[in-house]
Amino acid sequence: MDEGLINNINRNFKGQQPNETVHSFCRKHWVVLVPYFMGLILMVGIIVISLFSPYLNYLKDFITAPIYNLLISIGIIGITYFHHYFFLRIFDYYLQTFIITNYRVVQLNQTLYFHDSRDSIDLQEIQDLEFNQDGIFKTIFNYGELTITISSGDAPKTFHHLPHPEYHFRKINKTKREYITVRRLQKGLPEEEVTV
Amino acid sequence: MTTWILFTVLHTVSIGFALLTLWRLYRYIRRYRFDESKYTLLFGFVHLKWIALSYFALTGFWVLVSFLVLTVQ
Repeated sequence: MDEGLINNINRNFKGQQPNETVHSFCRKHWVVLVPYFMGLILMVGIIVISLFSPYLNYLKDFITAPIYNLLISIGIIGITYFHHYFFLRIFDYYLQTFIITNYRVVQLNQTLYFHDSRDSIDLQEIQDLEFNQDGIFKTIFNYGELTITISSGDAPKTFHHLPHPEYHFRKINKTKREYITVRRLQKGLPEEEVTV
Repeated sequence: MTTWILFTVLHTVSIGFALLTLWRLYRYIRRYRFDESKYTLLFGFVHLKWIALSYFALTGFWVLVSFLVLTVQ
């Protein structure tokens, strides 16, 4: 079997082309998960209070037993829902990947249920590249936006909450230079310095 | 009685959903895999399999805790 062919064992992502190799990949910065972790802390707090607080017993004196049972049931349903929601968001975080290959830049927007989309930009279509790290949080936690302007005239594509944006900025530039050099050599043209 | 029926149905669905989710997740990551590093993992060290294991364990743990909540009330 030709080792260059991609099969289900050595494939890195859905839609990967034959001879396409991954140079770099990352996921969004963990800051996107902060609201879910805050929700988790709240949920754990509610569980602890409902187990150990004496106020729940006082509540029984003011409301009837069926209403009390209903409130407890609603609480359990709500926490069960949040439990699954929280973990699904974490799994989706792992599946949503930003990839730089030798041919293109790909963003996988996959979730475990109901959503599967891919954005890809060929390296040769990249006209301009810009990274942006504005603000105190982005500077401290080292994340930001990467904007790619495409030569076809389509709207620029921005990748949000990207960790180490400067690294990815340099990586895309380097990969594009290599890609263009290979293309020129394949066409029999002389090697040329390329800047993005 | 109604509360206990609700409890049973809820947690049966919950455990079933967790198993389905983990099955879908593992089916995907077995097919498409990356070489992870400290630059790609959550917080630099959290592996996906740890999250999957916690999900499964906490789903079971929540059944016990909610059983406790209903019993002590």
